[in-house]
Amino acid sequence: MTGKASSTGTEGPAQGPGAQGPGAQGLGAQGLGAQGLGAQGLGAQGPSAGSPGQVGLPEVRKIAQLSCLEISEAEANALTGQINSILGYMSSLERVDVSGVEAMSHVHGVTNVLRTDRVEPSLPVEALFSIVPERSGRFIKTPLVVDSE
Amino acid sequence: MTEITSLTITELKSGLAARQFSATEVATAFLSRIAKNGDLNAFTEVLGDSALAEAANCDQLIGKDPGKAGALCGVPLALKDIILLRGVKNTCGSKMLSNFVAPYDATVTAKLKSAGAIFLGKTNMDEFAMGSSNETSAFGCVRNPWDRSRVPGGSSGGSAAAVAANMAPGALGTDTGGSIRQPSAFCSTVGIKPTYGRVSRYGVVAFASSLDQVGPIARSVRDCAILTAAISGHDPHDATSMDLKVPDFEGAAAQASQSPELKGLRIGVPKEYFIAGLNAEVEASVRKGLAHLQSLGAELVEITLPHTEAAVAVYYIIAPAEASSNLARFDGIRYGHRASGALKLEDLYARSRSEGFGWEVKRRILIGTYVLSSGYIEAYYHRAQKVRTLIKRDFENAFANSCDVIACPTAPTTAFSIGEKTTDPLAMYLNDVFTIPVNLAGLPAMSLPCGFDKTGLPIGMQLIGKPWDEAGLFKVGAAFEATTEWHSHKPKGI
Repeated sequence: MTGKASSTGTEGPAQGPGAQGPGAQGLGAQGLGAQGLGAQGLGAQGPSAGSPGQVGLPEVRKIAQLSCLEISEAEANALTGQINSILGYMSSLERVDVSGVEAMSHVHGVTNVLRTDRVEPSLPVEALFSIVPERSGRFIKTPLVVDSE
Repeated sequence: MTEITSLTITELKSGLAARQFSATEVATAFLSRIAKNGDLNAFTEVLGDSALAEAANCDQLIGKDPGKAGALCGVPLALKDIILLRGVKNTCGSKMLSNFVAPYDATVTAKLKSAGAIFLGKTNMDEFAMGSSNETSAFGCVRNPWDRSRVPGGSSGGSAAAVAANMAPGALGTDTGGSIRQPSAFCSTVGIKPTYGRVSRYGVVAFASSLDQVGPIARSVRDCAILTAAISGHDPHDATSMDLKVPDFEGAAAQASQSPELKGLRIGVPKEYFIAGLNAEVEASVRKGLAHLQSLGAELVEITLPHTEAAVAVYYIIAPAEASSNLARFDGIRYGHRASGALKLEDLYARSRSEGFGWEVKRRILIGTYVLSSGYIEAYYHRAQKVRTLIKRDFENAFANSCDVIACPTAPTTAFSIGEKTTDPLAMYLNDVFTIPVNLAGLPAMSLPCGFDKTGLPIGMQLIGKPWDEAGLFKVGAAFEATTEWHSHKPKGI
């Protein structure tokens, strides 16, 4: 087992072999597509992800990263318990026989609707710019999109 | 004369037409009721000045040519703060949108405007409509007018509380998993979620697009019929809104009120909705309501909806999955909260989102991202979509073989105490057990008052209809309402 709470406070309860390590290391080793969450279906998860339908701290951190959300260690700890309780409940779906059943994404089975290709009035540019957080003339300001190096 | 604020929309319409009172008097009366009940926290913004200006316009119109005034001319309404009203803040109960001013009207808003309705304000709600108690609002919980220590339900809790406390005769809400019906049950109002596709979602901030639907909350079935008719219909801006004729909803309700007779109607009573966990007083009131429907001539038929138990799990996979995708747009770039001082684009995204979203929203984005992630999408999301098909089939079988309408409880309990379930998200989710299947199947459903528990908290009965048969619900609801007096009770001290 790797060590106890580090200065960055990333340690939670035991998560299984190799699961722990401060910050980036933990995330890198436990990527969604790697052994932590990927490739394993519900009910077939390895020890790193806890019991069936369960996630560990590294997975929660990785999901947060994919969701573009920053969470503190304390928050990640609290969320892990809550998410596991919710996922545990969802695993009840394993008991439903869905063989031969089609997946439904929409009740009315809608298809794409295209409008006629002709110029129509749109909202005034100024009306839309009035809600932009930071602008420079006719442009929306953002931090650097491409590294300058 | 009865106090103006206790009048229904139907009564306000005829009073305005007969010049018993002016639109200005009506708006003034509701605005002062709103001010008096400020502690309920039902509104995120009150539009006093513009409401009075619109009312003055209506008075002029009615004075000049009453025939040309719109069907809702001078009728004041409230809008859930997720429905865009041009020039007015649309917060969605979130810090993320606390300064977002709507640049255009939602289609439902535009329809109500063209009918002459006046907007009293925007109502408080669970953040991004994610919640069953209104406690996830960034602007504080709404209090239940029947007991201010209790929640009003959610997510359209502000709309239900406003209508129950006579702060508005009607309001619009949205319903993704019960967000119109459950607060209606908790606050003793009538609320309907129309069939998916009946009402345009254009200009309504998206939570879970395959489930979201706008609908009214009011104090009578007929008022709900009037508002549903006003907002229904195809909209080129929403490809999921169906191009179907809108039936005469008000006529269906009015006729049933006059001759409340349900002979020949088969009402399905699903055995899976009367289960352990259903509060005994709620069950007793709903059973009494069912017996009453029987006394009006309806036949009660026990039915089975075998996949009911799976609905909550299906919903809390599908709704967060869609939400995690829909809420990806809130990145601090074009609108909404932007974190200051970020040096890189990714930092700006992550910090803006982390500062702007509250915990329930973050939790659902995380769950949605997880169930859609590589390696898990099959086990969770695709499986949930398949079970959703089975849930829809349950209803199709029941309507094809056994019944015309389904009746059951709206929620398993009465309004719970503020703070009672906030630490246990799963317990909160289970409160939606009777409302969620309806959204998954895309059906219309209504909650209407059917009793009170020993402590005086309201109880709601849910009526579920066939697709596009809102008129059938209005008929049964109006017949029930005309022959009971539950809807006439009022909370004290409003």
